[in-house]
Amino acid sequence: MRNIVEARPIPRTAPLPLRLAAGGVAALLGLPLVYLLVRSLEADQATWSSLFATQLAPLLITTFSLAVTVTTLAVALGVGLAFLVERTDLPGRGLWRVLCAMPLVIPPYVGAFCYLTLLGPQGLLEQWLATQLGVAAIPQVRLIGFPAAVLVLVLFTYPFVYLLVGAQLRGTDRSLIEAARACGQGAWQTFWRVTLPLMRPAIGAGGLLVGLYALADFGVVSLLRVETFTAAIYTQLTTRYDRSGAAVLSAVLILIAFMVLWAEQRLQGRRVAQLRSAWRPSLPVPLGVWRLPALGAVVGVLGLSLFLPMGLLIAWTIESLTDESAMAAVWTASYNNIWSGLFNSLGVAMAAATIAAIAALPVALWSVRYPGVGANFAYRISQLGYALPGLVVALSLVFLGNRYLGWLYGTVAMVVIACIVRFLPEALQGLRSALAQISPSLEEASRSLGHRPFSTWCRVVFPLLWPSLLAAWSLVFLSSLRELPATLLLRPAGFDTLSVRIWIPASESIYSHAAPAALLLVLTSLVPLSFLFVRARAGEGR
Amino acid sequence: MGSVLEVEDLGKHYARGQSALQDVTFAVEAGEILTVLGPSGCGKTTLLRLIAGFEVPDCGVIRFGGRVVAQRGSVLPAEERGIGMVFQDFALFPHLSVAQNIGFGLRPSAPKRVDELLELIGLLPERDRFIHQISGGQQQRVALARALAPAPALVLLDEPFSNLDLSERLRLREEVKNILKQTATAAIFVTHDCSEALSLGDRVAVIDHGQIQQWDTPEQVYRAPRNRFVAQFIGRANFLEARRTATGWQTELGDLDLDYRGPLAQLDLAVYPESVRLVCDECGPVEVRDRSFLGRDYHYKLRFPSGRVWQAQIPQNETFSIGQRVRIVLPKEQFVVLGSH
Repeated sequence: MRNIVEARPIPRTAPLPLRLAAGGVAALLGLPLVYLLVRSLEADQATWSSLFATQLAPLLITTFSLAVTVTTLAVALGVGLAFLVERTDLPGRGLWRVLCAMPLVIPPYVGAFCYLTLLGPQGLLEQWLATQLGVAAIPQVRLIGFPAAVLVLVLFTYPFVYLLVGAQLRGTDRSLIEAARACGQGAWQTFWRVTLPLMRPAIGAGGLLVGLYALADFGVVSLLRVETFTAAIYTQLTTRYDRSGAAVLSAVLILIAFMVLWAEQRLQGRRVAQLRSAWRPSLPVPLGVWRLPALGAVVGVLGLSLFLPMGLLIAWTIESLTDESAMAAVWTASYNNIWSGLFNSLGVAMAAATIAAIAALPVALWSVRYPGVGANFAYRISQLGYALPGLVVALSLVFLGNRYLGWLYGTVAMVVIACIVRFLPEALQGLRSALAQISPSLEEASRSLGHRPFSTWCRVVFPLLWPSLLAAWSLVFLSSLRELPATLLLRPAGFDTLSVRIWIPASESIYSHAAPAALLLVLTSLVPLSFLFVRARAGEGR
Repeated sequence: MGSVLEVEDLGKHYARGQSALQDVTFAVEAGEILTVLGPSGCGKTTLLRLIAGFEVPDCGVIRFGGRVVAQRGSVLPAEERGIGMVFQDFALFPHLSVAQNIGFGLRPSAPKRVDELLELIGLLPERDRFIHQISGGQQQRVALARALAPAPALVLLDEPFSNLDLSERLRLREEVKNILKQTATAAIFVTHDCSEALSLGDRVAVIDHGQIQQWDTPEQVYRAPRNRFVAQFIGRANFLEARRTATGWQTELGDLDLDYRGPLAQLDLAVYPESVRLVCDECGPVEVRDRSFLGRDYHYKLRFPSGRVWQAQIPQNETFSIGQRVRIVLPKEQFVVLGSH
């Protein structure tokens, strides 16, 4: 006798709650950007034409040349250091390998601040000249302007390239190099024809990070007084109170960022997949007489990007402890002292990281487990913040908050939202690759053992995803902790974070007031960064 | 004993008109081991996934324990079927210990049952280790114990030994068979290794191009393969066509006397390489073309005047050299008549 089928159809598409959650997240992330573009189109003809006539050409030239110069130099520096540390017999390379990644703990605007304390107005050099030689300040030798911005940005963004290329070099099997040598290629030919092409994906990814950073940077260019788009937008907003003008400039900047992303996609099209069955590390290339000069170069770069800035930060912090007015302003003020800045920074970063990690989850799940047009669209929209400067995100929130979210405008929530829109893509990337690595057969095994989808999720997927969720959280936390422009624009009156406490006194050249916050920020960044670093190394070793 | 599982006219199609499975019908008795044998891509994994509940059939019915669990377009979810599964990649949970993996399907958790199974697979000392800390063969045993823990009436094994080396594979083959018999669990065991299929199965289903070519006991499948595919896949058989004459059967090897009493005038014959015997003959019709040494045996390639090539496996005490002319000697019972029943 046949029973009636006790059955229900298997869903072919994602469950509705998942689609709603992911779609909601994507919509909330995309909304501010869309609104910003609408506002820029609403701007009257006069705004557009006057901006185009007067500002646009110089801004475009400055911004582009800054981004291109910084990317080129950072790639050269990152690749050179990575090669020296991973592939040659450089003395002490185990130590240099770790130290070369360390400048990442110093946000570039903190780096700019450090150089200002040395070579800027009322910096150490000018003080010394004045007291020792009685020479008045010479504005021409101050470290400000375009070359200064290039130097600082390169010194503090090259680790992006260095880390990615280094991982690629460590992952390259020795037999590839040996095969090239066996085919009759010399050491240099092998480098140009095998090693370098293998590094291309890592160079592309690292260069993209640096390039987008240079386009989006606000802190360095505003401290070192270079007129790029972000600086101009900020001026437009805070000194001319011209929101339409700011919106128009932002729209152009968004366009540039998308062009960079598009170009990168075209160039990166082909991925190099390596077969790694029996992997062996590469043998180091002997440097010969170049060993000492190479060592000198590595130490020199680290001196400029790590030792000198850290030394200056510590020196100025000690200065602030001995100077009475600095002591009062920074440490002991009853209202808005450095500790309340730290507390505010941690609060914003934790809130943003927690919400972003949770919100990224449905988008990642949808796009990995049920790929399709809808899932892909939600994923792309959620990725937008990756290419957007923090200042532009903040500006779009200013517009939106002003017109529709009056009750939110001027509260800390706006700062948190800006961090989420800007940094959620970082969480999304990590969660997507983690989910893709959890084999569907694990879920099927759990189902075949009698666990329903929800129970399977709780008992199998979540425990396996947990470390990646933590890593995603740390990444957003770290980025939010250092966030500057959105905080400046959106914070409620009197709400100081560490980054604000650095930027304001630094732009007024009161260095001893800014240094303790900068040092505290660097030290706080060390915790999530070392967690991420250890995790990345463990992942590579597997 | 009744059937645990009945599969009737099962069909599954994929996009682009590819047919993964077609008209599949068979049954598994309680406690029986059915091995499903076929080349890769023949649809055996799809069959397992349909039975487990991870795919929906396009037509046909699957009945498990007397109730319909799947038919066209609608299915009982995998978690409500109570069918155990051992995956090709083991799919052991990396965040759980050996004991926790085995106890995963037990509700409420039953430490006694877990220990019982650990005892059964001989891994009691390993109970608190993590999956990456034990060997491949041990992982395989844990995967089996995990599937057996809720005492399912049927377990599905998807090429479970394909990730293991040869010696481990042979040892586990025996062990798995013993465990399944000891627990009186019916099993469907998918493999592309025919010695595995023949030695493990109470019955064998040979699949090709999504269709069952033969479903029978291992002995029958070997002795009476239904068609050329089965004979070739099971025993790398040689083939020969025979035409009825007034006195017997005419073939390329000469006139034969066959034990065939059926009505056909044309027969398809199969001969396994190990049945072939050779005699030196200067004027013999067959030439030795190739020889490789296998230890106990030599493996020869033989070329007929028509260009047909046969394989032969001859004990190493009789040696023939390449280029030598030989005659093939075969008693009539060594000719397997294909599709005769």
